[in-house]
Amino acid sequence: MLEHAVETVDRDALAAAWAERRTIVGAWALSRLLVVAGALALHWTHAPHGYFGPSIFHRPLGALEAWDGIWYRLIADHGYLLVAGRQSDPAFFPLYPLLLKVAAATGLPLGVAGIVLSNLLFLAALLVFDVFGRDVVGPSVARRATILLAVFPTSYVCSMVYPESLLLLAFAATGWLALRRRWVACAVAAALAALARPEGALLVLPIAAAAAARWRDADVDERARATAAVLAAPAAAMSFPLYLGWALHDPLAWTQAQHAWGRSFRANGVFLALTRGAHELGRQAWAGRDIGFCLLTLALLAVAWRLAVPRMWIALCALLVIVPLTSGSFESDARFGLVALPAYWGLASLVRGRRAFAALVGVSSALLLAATLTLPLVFP
Amino acid sequence: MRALGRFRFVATAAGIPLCIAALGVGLDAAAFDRPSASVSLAAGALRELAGLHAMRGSEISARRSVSSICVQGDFRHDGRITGGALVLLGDGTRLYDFGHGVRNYDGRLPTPVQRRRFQLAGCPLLLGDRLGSRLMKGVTAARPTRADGGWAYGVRVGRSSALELFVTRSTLRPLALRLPGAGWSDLEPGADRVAIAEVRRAFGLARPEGRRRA
Repeated sequence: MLEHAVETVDRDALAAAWAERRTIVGAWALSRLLVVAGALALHWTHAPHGYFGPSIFHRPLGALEAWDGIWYRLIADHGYLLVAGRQSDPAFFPLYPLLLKVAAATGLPLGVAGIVLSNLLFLAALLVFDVFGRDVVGPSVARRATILLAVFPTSYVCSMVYPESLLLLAFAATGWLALRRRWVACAVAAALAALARPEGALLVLPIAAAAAARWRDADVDERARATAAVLAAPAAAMSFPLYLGWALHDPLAWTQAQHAWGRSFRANGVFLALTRGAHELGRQAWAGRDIGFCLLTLALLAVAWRLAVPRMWIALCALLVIVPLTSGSFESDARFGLVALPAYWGLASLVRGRRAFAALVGVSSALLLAATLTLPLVFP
Repeated sequence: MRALGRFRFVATAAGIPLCIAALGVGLDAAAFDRPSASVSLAAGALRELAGLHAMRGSEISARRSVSSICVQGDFRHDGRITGGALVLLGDGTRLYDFGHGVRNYDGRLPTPVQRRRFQLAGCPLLLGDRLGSRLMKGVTAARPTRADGGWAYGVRVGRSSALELFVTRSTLRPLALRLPGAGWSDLEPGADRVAIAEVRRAFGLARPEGRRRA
């Protein structure tokens, strides 16, 4: 009798949870269908060739395995190796290729395993982002923001062999757990972000702000856990150079590889990025994509500022698109800005009406498909 | 009591991040293969090549020996500053490559012999490019041997590589290059200012940093 009651409650809870989240799952499924359809169209038409030979069109989802995906697969296959003066793989942080290796243990080819992994992580990221948003901006804006993130034009990267889905998930989880003062779990989420990409280390800012806000009322144990959460992301980020020091006998291998990729810091980098950006715009229109999304992200963060989103989150997300400019280029800034979570809250707050929201989702979905179809022409 | 509280604070606040860092290193070490000795050696040889901008060579063939000097850098070419390699052979032949294959300075198509000599000139960055692109994907073999009268390693990269670079055992600096079926050349890293100026003059680049067409 009791068992039957527990079973009923479980089933009810499950049904309620599904009912609450099915819009998100639906948005995820439809947006990913668009990306997969775009990749299949590339496979069938064998065009545009862009930077690639025919090899990326051989596999049905080959386009989703391209660009940095090649490097992540290489790391999962062979480990790290610094080749001086050339682009090499220590420029890529280790968590995603590590998960790729685990996913490939199921027997799937590495590329397919990466695509499945990224898509599942993206679903998890959307679900956690929605929960985080509810606590920050309320359920209505949070839900709209989550759907807008699902169909955001640059979100095709979240279906590629790239760590962006993982980073999104870790960012959203860190934010939510910090708000709930679950400091140890927050430390783990922040560490995962910092092991996925170097910008994860910047999570120190919002966690520190959340810890500072709680400091006066917290007991010693909570203060200690909060401090640990603050230090977790930098500690995790530091583990990568330590590993490279052990494996390649060069703890600075990441910096050297970044240099070869044209990603080294320059004091006048932002100025260079602006002047070169204007020049690049005249030469090829694709430069406009990164510049446009960088400006859009900053504008939406300004809108989010008015929504009382925690200031340090806004500072962190502004840094996500500004720090890469110190290398003197806007390259890939659209992708770097994808993780700027408050920007989606800002965007969602601008479209309150049903029709306006539906129109924005439609336009964004069309751009998402277009971005997928032009994948061979320009790197994410 | 206060000391115990302080200890608990420090143990938690520092202990968790330290555990995270240790776990990060441990997971990476468990998950990823370390480069083998051969791959490390080849990467070391490439690191040496990456630091060079000029190479002197001396082709060794049954018929006659032809010396060469390769100078690499940014030169003005077709109205733009472009990275490339200039090779001046001992017989006066001037060959260059600005990323579109080997070209003859006098406008004629390079002969197969000239192409081979260009390769044997051992232009460091081109050689590094060729070996480096294969290093991460292919099989690498490094064997101890003797070259140019000294102890050396022969480094061959890639499954179908037809190229073997010989480097000194102590410093991994280039000593010789072998193209199976095409011959050998002894290599001497770097070149003095006079030699570099000579190459630049031969390509009409006498004025500082390539004012004229290479």
